[in-house]
Amino acid sequence: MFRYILLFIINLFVITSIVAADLKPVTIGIVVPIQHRALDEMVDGFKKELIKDYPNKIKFVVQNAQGDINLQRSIIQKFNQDETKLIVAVARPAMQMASTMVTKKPIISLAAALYEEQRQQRSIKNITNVDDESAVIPGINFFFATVPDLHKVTIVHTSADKIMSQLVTFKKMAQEHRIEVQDIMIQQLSELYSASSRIAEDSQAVFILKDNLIASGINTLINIANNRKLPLIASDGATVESGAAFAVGFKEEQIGAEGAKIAARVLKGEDVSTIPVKFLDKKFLFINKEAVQKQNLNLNRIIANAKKYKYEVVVYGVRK
Amino acid sequence: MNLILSTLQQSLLFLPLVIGVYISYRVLAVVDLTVDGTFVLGAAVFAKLVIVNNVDQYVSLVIAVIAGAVIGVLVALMQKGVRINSLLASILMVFMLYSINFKIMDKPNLGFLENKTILMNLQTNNEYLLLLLIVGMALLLLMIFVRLFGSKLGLLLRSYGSNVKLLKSLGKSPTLLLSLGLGFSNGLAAFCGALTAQINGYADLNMGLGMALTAIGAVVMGQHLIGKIIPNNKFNAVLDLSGCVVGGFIYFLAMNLFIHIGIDPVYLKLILGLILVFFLATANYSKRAVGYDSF
Repeated sequence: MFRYILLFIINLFVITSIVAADLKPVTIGIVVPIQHRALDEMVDGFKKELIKDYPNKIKFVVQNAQGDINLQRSIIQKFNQDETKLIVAVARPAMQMASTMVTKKPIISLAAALYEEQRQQRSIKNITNVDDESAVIPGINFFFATVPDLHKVTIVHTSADKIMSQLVTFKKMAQEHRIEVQDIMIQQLSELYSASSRIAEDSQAVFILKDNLIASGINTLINIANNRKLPLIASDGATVESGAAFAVGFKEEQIGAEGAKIAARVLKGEDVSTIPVKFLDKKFLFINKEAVQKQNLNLNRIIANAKKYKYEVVVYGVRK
Repeated sequence: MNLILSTLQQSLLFLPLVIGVYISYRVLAVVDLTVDGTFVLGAAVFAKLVIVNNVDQYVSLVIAVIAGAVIGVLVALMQKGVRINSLLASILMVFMLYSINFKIMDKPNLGFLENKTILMNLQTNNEYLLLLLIVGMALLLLMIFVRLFGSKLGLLLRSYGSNVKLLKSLGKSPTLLLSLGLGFSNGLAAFCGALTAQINGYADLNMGLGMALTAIGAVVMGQHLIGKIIPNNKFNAVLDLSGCVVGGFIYFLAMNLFIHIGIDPVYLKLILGLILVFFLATANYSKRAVGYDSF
């Protein structure tokens, strides 16, 4: 009798241990370099998709470094040392630091400008990336094709790393279309107001890239664009929702969701080093109907062009 | 590596900047925020030379330090030659350094992804050896500056902060001494920037944000704590520089502990700021003369 009881207890212990191990949530550490709406939306997209895609319990630890590199290092160090199973680095500085500091845990970066060739050159390939830059050239092309008779445009930008390389592309494409470019660069948000007053009288439109700092002060540019009936063309949905006329791009949640699909594969046991950089392909045209009207653009022409380029159209009103 | 060892690594890596700020803030008694810019300058020069120009990493490190020191001398000349207030001169220099750093790097961010340096190699392959190397570097730096402050030059630098009139009566040039002091200070900041760029894997135009304040915080906390443990009215280079080590360590330990216990990083700057206010208030820096009672 005693033997049966002992056997029962041992079996019970084994089964409980297995169930407990299975129920223990998997921790995913997400490091975000600065507070920004677009980055938050990426993180939301990541979380929503992963919960859907991965059956086991997940604990998300999202930490924002507030633009402080010492703090960012401490956050990544913590993820590297504790029970975190997978690290998600949002945007380039977080990716660069995580890939230098973490060698034994898988890293998935979102919108971090890490290319497949760069990944292959690394001795330890514990990282892969979801790229969001493939909408830049189509976005500029759509802008030039949609706003009629362009001779001079203004681009307002910061000196952020991704932005400077995209600026070169913009200028090159403008030159090919024989469009003169007025280049206005700001270093701090406080400069945006005075910089926007420098927009040339003969400028026919203002273009902005997916520029985090400019996006935080977008209302300044929207006011000027509406007052002067000057089209303000952006490169992401959130800025259009705020009051820019239109943009070709990806949904931020989509970038996060693609990262989540990779995360699910990694958590199921796939080696991250075998997963190549993911390029998004489904582009959207974001339109703000009221802004289009205020900034003297033709809505029908924009929608017709979107159909021509086969972009799914997302329509916004002005945010209250 | 556990929390204490990784904090030690982080704080010792930051030590050159803390010593740099100690020199300007405590020894020379001038408010110099230029380190925010020279920290980035060191990282930018090092990254550009190693990544783009394929220059030897040790040579690049020396050039980065010299670049920082030259900026320090220029700030001193702005203060003494053109008679610009020390705080304003440093803010102006940080403003100008933004453009200079940008021009040096040609773009706002240079990554070391494909360019391995010795610190990066150690971080990837043997982090304990990296810690040992950083401890060795910190000890060497402390020995150099303990010796410097005990020398005649050190005495003159200290007298700049305590009694400039005495310097003038001795026929010594305050401009020269300020240039030397700020040269050391900003050279150390550039050195710290170059090391940080290697450990973090990139040099970025905005990586200097808040560095001066963090280092001042470390100096204040360290001096206060060491002063409480070993009260001493006379200048003691060993105690003061030990204060720099302790202050840096406490700062990073507090930050890492808060993150480990799960405090939202959004509140971290507020908490660390309040801790700093406490130390500044109890140290009574605002009322006390920066110099020492006697030599």
